[in-house]
Amino acid sequence: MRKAATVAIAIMVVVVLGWYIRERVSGPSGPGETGEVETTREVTLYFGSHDGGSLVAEHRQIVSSRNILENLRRVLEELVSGPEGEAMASLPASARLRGVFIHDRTAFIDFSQEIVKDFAGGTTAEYVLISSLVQTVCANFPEVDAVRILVEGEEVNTIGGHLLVSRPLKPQEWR
Amino acid sequence: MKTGIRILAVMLLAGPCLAQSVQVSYSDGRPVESIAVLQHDDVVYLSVSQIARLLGLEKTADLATDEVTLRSGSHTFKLLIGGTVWMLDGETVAPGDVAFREGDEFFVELGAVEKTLAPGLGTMLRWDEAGGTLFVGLPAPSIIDIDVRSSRERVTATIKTIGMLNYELLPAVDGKIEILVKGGVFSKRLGFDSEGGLIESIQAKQETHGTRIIVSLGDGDPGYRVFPRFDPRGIVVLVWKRTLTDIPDPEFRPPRTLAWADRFSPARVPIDLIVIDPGHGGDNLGSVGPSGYMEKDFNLEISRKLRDALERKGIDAMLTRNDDVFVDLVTRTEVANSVGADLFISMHANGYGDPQAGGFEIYFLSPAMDDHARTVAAMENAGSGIVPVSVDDAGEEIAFILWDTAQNEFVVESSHLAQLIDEELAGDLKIKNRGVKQATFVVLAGVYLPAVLVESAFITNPREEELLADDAFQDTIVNGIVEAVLRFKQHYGR
Repeated sequence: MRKAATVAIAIMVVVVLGWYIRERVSGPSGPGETGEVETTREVTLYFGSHDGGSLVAEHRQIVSSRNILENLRRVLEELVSGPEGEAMASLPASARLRGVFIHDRTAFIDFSQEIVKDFAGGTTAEYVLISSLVQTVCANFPEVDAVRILVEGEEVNTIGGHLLVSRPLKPQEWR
Repeated sequence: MKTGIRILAVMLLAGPCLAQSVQVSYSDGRPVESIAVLQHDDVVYLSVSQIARLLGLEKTADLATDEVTLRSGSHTFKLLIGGTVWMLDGETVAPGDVAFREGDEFFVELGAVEKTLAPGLGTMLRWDEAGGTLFVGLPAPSIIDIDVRSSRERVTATIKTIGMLNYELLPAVDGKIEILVKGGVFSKRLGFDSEGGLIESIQAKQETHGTRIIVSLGDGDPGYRVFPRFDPRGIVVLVWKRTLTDIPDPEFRPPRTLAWADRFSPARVPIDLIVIDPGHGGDNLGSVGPSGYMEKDFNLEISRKLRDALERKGIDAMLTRNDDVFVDLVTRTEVANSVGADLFISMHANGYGDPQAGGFEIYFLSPAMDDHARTVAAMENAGSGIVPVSVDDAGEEIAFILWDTAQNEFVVESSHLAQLIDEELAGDLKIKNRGVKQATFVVLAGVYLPAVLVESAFITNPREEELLADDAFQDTIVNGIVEAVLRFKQHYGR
């Protein structure tokens, strides 16, 4: 009982202290979660080539945070928004990113159901979708070795009905 | 006793029985020696005492009943002099009338020692007539190990052999499969036990003409398949948990559904039932062309044509769907596994955002990471010219467990079939050849037989959409696949 009370107090102290430090350092209107000065970072996005047989790299500046999940989210949102150059979009533009998390060097990427519903194409389109995701994530985040795709928070077998995605997707396999 | 005397009498009448000196060369390091043997009419006889000494056997002879017992480790051979039937470990063998008695000694024809007695006792004796030398020792084992790998859904037992050994598969009785491996010899204890497993036990028994492997299957009538493996050499027993008890759409079953596993297989596999899988169907349209031609319709049209063309060549074929309905991917897989099919071919048309993208490509399932090195070597040996994707070591164990698919066992055959189809189509289809590729297809992953997926052309490409609907173009694809299947059959099958 006493131990529980001690733990509870300790947690309260940490939370209050954390809130105080955060408010002081970044101020209410400071950019970024941890409040550092806004920086940008060049990232590499992979889209489909015109014949669908390979990926095309596009470089872009994004606002960089010290939070890796925030950066991952921004990179993925750029990827969903599609190419600025000549390449082909790899994901349905309607697909919404619901969340990201990293566990055990694997990035879990949770999309809304549009990624399945609005997917159009055959094996080639599906391969480009998966490989562009995997290559983009792994090229920009050396902390990540593999990608798992979730839809509406759940593991799915396949996005387009051909390829199996209910396993860690590794950049070595999805070129 | 009487018989022995009779035989000796016959021999004496037929001609002199000569004492002949032969060299004995041992494989266990004993020095070469010279021994005396009996020779009569070009037939050499060894005394039982000599046999016991040469092969290191324990001998007991019963002079009252003319019965000799030879023991080696766990094996016992009983010879009845003058009888034509002997007993090895309680089972009968019939070498013929090949022994006689002279006084207190028994003699056995060298040929019977070489072919029946020595191998039955797990030893080796070879007569080199030209050199006048007997070679004695332990035979090189030809069955070296049984390697068992289990996952939740299946167990793969590989009986590893040196050289390709022919075998005969006996039909399962009471959940037991017996494989007679001709000429197989094993020297160390082989066996496997796993109570409650899909394979409950494997036992090996040395017999006169080879090794009998007895595989006891677990409960629940699991599916199984026995087939030769060329690299590494061996015989594979694949046992899997059935996920569907009833085969859907029985009307599509061909009249003859003899399971692959039920046929004698001299290191060749029969290839005469092919499952063709028309992709998509029903609400699942697949890709749709600019003029509205739907992939699901093309897939069914070409699959029916392919079925008819194969049947004209005497190869049974069945479809996973024969209507505009969606059949889920697991059911398609299960149909192929359940009917004892020999090949699985999934038919598709491709689609991509750029309407200019075009061409055909043939896919097989990417191999498991664990099997990467083995697969590369095997593919090179098979001359398929395909090098699988490279992988690094990071996280290999996890990836292996998750990607331990049924197709791993067939990656060499599957890649070879893909290569053959690509070759056949390359000459005839006047569209871009995008080549043989690997990817992780859901519909291929659970298939327990060689399997490929054909992307015939891009339905999203206006010119190719027109071609896909064209009879001549469809026929060209069908003929190419049929040719490839026939070449595949010639290579692996019978």
